[in-house]
Amino acid sequence: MRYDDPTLRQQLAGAYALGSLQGPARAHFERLMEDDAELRRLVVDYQEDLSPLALDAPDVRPPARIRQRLIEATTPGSNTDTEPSWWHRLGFWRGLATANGLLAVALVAFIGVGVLRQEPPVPSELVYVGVLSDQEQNPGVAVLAYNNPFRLEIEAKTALTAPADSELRLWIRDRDTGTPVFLAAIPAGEKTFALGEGPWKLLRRAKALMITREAAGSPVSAPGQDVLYQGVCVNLKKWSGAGLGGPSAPQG
Amino acid sequence: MTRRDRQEATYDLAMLIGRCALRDQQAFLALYDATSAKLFGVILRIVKREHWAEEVLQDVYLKAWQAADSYNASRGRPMTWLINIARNRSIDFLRGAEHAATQRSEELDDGLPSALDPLRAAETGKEMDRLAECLKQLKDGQRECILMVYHQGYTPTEVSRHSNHPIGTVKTWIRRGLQQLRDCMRP
Repeated sequence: MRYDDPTLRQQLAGAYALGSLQGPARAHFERLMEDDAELRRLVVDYQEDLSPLALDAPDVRPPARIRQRLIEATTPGSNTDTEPSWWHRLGFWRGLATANGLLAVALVAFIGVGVLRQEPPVPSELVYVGVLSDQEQNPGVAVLAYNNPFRLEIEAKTALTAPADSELRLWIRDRDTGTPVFLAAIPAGEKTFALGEGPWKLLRRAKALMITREAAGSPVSAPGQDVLYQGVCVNLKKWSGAGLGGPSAPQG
Repeated sequence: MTRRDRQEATYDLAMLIGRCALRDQQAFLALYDATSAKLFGVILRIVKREHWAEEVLQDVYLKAWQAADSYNASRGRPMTWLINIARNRSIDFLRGAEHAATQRSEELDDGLPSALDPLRAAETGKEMDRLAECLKQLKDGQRECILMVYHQGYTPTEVSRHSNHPIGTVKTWIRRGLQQLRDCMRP
């Protein structure tokens, strides 16, 4: 069967969205969709078009026991809680970071707004998030900046290491000038480390973050050529006052 | 609900799903509180039995919890994403081994007429108006087949049995009806 035929693709997408594509054909179509963004878009278009039919269903309040079961199932450590690895969760951020830039920033911000709005007030807030990619554009490091107290958390897909005579350094890229400015040296083997008030203020000016490998003790006036990771940095707190009606509306 | 309200509701749900991806249980419960009545209604309309619907609903939210990190705007609006999970789980449930042998009794069709009334959809929202208008443009048979599949989770074979139309006719009506719907909704 020729799955590049536009008419057939439309028909299959419609049948899938409606629910009339069944059994092995449905499973096969789902496999096709995995590698075919255009086909997924066709399906989503149909799903969006048909969704008013579902929204028309009357609201029926489910029994309270369902909610209680879900609480138990999603409590860390429960038998049914399937806590994914941080990198599994990072898929969400990665998708945003590699998607349309403004939309990505907006959605990351919405998530951040939620983090910031948790009740009761938490002693520490996640304020900046950077998702950094390697030279092949594969996301490899997430930088999370918390306040109260100021600190950075580095989540790396593979361990960040540097030879004995070198060190890893984190830089911001200034949002106005684009110039790299030294932020901090990443302590060997440390996942979380404190950040001074000065570097913290520097983060406000960051439009991107960068990790380089430098000779130990070398000047920090400018980075060398060995850039390991770089990527966008989002100020979550900046968006917390912007309301949910942000600048980029994620449309279906 | 204004367009602005709908957009903000979309943002809110997207935010909650995003927080679920970060394993925020409070966000998960907020998502449940905001959407479970609608999804329970959708599921109930398909599986018909309340204790089955409860089982499916629980499964839907666990699936959403586990798959939250895969959600993004390209998968449709948050509510559409949740509805799709709910519909797929409901249909899978009905077609599962335990229930495949269960013949749906006639009483299960009691809810059909009201559920198939596209005019109800016109009561709220521009999108519903437009879809209802497009549905009205279909032939009666096309419209009935499409709505039976969507609302009841019927297979084309089941639609054929319930509507007393040949299976080939049902498949053709569904195919052509969907195409006409799309042409109408996205001219």
